[in-house]
Amino acid sequence: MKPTIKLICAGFGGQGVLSVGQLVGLCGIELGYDVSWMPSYGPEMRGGTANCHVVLSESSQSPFIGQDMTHALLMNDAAFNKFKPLIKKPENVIIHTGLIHQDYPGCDFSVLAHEHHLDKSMNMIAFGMVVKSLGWEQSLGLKVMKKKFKGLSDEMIFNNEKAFLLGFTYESV
Amino acid sequence: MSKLLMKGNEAIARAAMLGGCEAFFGYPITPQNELIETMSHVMPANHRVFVQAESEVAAINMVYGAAGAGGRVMTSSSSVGIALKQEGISYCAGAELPCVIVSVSRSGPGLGGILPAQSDYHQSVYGGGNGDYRVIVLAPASVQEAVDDVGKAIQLAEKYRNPAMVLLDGAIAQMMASVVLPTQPLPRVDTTSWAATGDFKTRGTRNVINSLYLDPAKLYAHNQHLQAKYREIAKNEALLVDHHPDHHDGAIIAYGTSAKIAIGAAQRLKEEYGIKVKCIQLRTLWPFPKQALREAIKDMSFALVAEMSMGQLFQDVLAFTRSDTVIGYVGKAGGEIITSDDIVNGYLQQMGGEQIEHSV
Amino acid sequence: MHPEKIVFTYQGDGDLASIGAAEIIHAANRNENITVIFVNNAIYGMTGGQMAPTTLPNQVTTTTPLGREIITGAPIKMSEMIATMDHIAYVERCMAADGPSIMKTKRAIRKAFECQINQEGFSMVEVLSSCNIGWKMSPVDSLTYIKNTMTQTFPLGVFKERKHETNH
Repeated sequence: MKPTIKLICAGFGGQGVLSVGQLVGLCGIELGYDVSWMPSYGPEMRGGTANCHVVLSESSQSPFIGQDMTHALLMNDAAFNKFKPLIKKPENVIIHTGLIHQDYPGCDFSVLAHEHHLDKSMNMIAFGMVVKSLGWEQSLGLKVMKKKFKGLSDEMIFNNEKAFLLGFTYESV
Repeated sequence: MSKLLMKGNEAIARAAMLGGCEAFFGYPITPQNELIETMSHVMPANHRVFVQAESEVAAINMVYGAAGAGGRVMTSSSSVGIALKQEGISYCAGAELPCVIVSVSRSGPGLGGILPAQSDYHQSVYGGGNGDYRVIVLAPASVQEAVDDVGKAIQLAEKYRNPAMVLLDGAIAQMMASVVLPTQPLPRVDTTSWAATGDFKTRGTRNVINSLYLDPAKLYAHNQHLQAKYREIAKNEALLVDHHPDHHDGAIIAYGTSAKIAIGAAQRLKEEYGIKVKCIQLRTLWPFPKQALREAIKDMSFALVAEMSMGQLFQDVLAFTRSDTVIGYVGKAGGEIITSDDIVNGYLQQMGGEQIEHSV
Repeated sequence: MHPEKIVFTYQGDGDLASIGAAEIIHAANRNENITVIFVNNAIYGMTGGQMAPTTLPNQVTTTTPLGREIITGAPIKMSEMIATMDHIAYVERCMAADGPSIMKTKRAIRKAFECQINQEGFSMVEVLSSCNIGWKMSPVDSLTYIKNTMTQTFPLGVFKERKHETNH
């Protein structure tokens, strides 16, 4: 049985963490997992924070929300403080080093995106890093992006893929 | 049979349409908005009826009308809106109209909040409408179960000519999950013997949809007929799932989102404390699976009820099991989601017989 | 209760024109000495942009994805409807689209409260307002939309003014 993956994606609204979670969910479906994606909604969102719990499991009976997450993508300080304690293995945490000054794997997504003129696709860099850290193939990420972004402009799709590859190949220090 | 990643509300709407729902009447309320939004395009696109009513009361009365005309009909709402529909639900039950009500519960009382809760257990199971009536209540704990239950609710409603409710909380409605949608419309039950379709001339008999009986003898007979039907439903349709058939040290009893979390808690109790506790998930709330629950916990010294409400389910479990098993309670309300810590700690704390405060 | 106190309601179009339509009509018909501020943005904002009874023809909302068709009803003109009641004090429709129109709205609301203070009875000010997120427009475009489009369906003006006759 494949181990259950429980990922938390959290940050500011607008950073695109919910989309990253959905894309990870779509990867899970491709890999034959039972998938759930649970967003924060309601008043919690009005403070400008957003998060989602993504659970990929072989069993359809896995709880879709929990206190024992295995992986995290944390995009701001508040998210780091709230969710870091839930992750047992520090190497499974990816942080936005531009906003979180801690010694964890990650990168300054804003700076990297800006350098490559990919500001609107910043979250796809993060998605690339998440796919890499989960040990998945690059082609899987590109496949689900193709499905998810059907209907977007060619330029947007191109930029998203470019950003994804940037993240996938990024060597975090 | 391909798996899709879809939001609970959207999946329920699509499942109803694909299952053959012919008319949907709704009104916006959080957290079920995506359900009516999805219906607003998938129903007209498939030549079915969609009406955004002026209120929840109007919507349930449209259900009464369309179901009375023999249609396969659905409405949906959330806590406060379901409260408004109660009169209409009682009318549908009185007139024996098959219809499906999807209730996406949020926190209460009153306007409450928009986050998930299970505080509408009493509202769903006992209802707020007048008279001795019953509504079939199915309780899914995942998006897939919600999709399956919509189909089941349609079938049970038609089989017994009775309103059927699918009760879920905002968490299941708002989450996305991998889901398989139905591919075939459900088989149709013949309604010609009772539906008011304006075919008096060809049929030769008059079909009247009514819940008014001024003659007490006739109304009493009608009530006896309804009770006989309810007994039949209770006998045939009560359902629970034992998630750990080989665990016998104790039990956690829950439904919906709480049951999902209880499954994880049972796992932790085994791994971290060596206690083999089974999670018993109630799949129908009315009829309540009394017999099966009694059977499942009969040799246990302790069972814990876990719910996102202040003891509503606990009280029923206490009343329906009537055994030597000590029944404990752990719960939250107001939009706080119960955690596996809550359940594990509640279990460990109360298994020794410690009493805690619960609702009155 | 407390007849000497100022009472006002602040209602959206979903509340006033849809689920609470019966209540507002009968409150006006009883000529209750209250002031109603009716914010009309032609959409359900709080629940995420569904059709309201005031939604304009062909307007896209989350429950009219192809634009509002007549089968769902026409935009309800609440000010005109309420103004048909003989005894009420004051009904005006304004808009909050730019500096001058906001000042005008302010004066109308002041007048509505004066009616109440003078015991003249029911007063209502309908304010055409924006919901740029629900309309999927920029804030600036949404103000232009109020001025150029909404006012076509909902003309501005005073629909009822029964001057200085006390109610009681």
